[in-house]
Amino acid sequence: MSPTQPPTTLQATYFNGQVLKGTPVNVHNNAGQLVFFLGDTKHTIALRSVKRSESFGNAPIVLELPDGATLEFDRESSLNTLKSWNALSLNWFEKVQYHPTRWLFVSLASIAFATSLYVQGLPMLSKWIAFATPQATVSALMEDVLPTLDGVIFQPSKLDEKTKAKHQQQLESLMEHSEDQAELAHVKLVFRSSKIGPNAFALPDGTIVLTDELLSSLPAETIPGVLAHELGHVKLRHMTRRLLQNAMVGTLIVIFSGDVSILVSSLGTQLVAQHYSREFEREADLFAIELFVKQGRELAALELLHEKLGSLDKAGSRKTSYLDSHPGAEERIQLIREKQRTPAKASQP
Amino acid sequence: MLNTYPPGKFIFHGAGREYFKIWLVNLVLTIATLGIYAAWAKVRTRKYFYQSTELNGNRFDYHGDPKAILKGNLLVAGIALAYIVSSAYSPGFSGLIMLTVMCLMPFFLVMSLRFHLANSSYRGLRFRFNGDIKTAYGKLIITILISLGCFVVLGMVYKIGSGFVDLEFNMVMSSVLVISAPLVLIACVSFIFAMFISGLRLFVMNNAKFGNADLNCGARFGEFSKTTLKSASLAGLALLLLAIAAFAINMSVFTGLLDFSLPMHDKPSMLDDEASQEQAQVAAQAMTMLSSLGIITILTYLVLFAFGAYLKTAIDNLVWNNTMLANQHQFKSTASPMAATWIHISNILLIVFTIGLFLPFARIRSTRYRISHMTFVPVGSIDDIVREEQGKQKAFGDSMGDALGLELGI
Repeated sequence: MSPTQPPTTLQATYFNGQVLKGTPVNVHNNAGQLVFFLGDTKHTIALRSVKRSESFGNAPIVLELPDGATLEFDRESSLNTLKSWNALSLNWFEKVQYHPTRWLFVSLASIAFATSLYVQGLPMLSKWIAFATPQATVSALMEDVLPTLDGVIFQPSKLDEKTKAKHQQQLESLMEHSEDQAELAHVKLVFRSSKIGPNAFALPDGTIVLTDELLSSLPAETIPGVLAHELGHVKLRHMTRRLLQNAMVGTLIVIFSGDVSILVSSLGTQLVAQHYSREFEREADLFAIELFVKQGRELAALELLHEKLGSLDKAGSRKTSYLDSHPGAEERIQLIREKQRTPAKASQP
Repeated sequence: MLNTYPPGKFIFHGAGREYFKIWLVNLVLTIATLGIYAAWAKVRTRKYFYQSTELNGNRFDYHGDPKAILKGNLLVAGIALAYIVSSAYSPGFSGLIMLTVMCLMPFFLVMSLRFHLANSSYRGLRFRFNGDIKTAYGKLIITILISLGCFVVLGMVYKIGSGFVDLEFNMVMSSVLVISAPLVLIACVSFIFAMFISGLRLFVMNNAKFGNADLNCGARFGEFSKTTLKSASLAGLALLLLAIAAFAINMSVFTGLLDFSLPMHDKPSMLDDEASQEQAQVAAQAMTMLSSLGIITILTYLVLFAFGAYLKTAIDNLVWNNTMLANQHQFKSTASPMAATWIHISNILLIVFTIGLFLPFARIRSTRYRISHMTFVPVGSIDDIVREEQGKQKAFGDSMGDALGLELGI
């Protein structure tokens, strides 16, 4: 017998599950049966009936015998012998842990899986849910949004009726020739004064809110562009999708972070929400461009809009950063210029 | 008398890099199986932590059956789903579900403890929980009633006090009220916390057994109150400092003491009339105020979290230092609440900055601190502790209890 062969008899401690005292025993394998002596009594246990649960690190290996007793083996000296007896059935993830390269692969695969889930899967799922839900249901569920905002950031508008009617007219002419008329039938235009500065909103129930501050800081010819952009948000159900995505991301982050939910989930949700938000802005920009092209309007008005918006931007930078909720002005203008170069989208007015 | 039974320190052998692998595999498989694997993941985690805990040369072990935990998980998922769906259509019904769940909490607590302890073992002997459901409900109801009584008394005192102030504008009276209000609040909160915490911990410990040996905790309510009062006072002090800081920052922004004008880019602004530049200035100040408020909010959360960690460690010490096994053997818990709080706070920050990857290391870190400061002090031999007859224990209380945040380990 060469010295590298594992021992055929193992030392173990026998715990009978009735008393605390453990008895040292010598265990050997006799054709698939574990044999050991307790005092003068010979115990024979079929290896098949022995339960071995996963053990970790340097903890002793524990074999559970059918009558509730246990045999504890020192891991280092017994591992190889027990393996050769087929007393240890390593489940696949235990094997993975013993092979660093394999578990590295598993880790990378899991990170890739999680990332693709967050980047691709969630938007797809919320898009599906948002479009699968009838608009009437969404509107019913979301009818409290505007009244709530009215109490917090909105004040009654100070515009005169003529101006309001003018913008209403602009909106209707945008929707006149639109193929999406059926989908946009529920759109309402309301005017407000906003405490948080120039802005326009598209609410989940199809209400478009124009603020006095926005109307006074942008040139008049850019307003149809604003309306077209908001129409895009409504048609593509962005607000609903964003609410769904936030909820799902928040839940996932809670699962990931376990019991450290509050801080991590709110921070993470914010970051991720900003990212999704930029995608939506791009989609709305595209919708506006296509609508303009379909109706034969000048794209220059859209360009002017984004230049003005870019200068209004408090952060001052015109480039996109991960923390922004909308693409930088440069990017949006670029998008328009690309569309101008490919007039293939232009159809008969 | 010569003590031939030396005290044994609890030793924690767990390592972050080992547990990280386990945690990662658990996570991947749980997501891949849409949560089914979570039951097996929990058992693996508990086994790892138990088997890494050593006392006098022997390790603990956990034997929970994942299938039983899975049944409990499915029940929890079903209830959660019913709650979410019904909250969209009928807020009344979902409120009813929430109310029912809350009323069943003591039931789930007892079930959970029974399963958890019956599946925990040391040197082959199992633990046990004998608490009965009726007692749990009884204690809870009494505690709730006393707390409500507290609130009522508090409310009356303040009505009288403020009525007094309204009657005659008395500077001394009103300043006394302003200062005493938070103090009374802290005292009340501490008292109510102490009632709930002592009720729970004593209920758990006094009904727990190891083999046929009882566990008993002799800590008295007065000691619980002192501990909660100390923790609450520290937390109150920290919040006060935060409030002063927040006030100071916002005041200075308003009076323009600090120059917070944002650096404008070199390109000429499109709008160069003064009105919009002033508007930008105000917006900048608002942004600073909002972001400082945001930081203040985060710090407040951290303070509250620290309070929880501090309190838990202090209570753990109180409970374990007064616990006896078989009416003779004792325990010593020497963890420092301050140190434990620092560990928890730094854990949170590290978890946030590593997008969650530090979580397994954080758990190991806090568990190691807690366990390495525990000692078992036997008085005589423990070999006379033997097994006791027991029936099968139900498992689904376990997952419900855990799902609702009751992490009750020994």
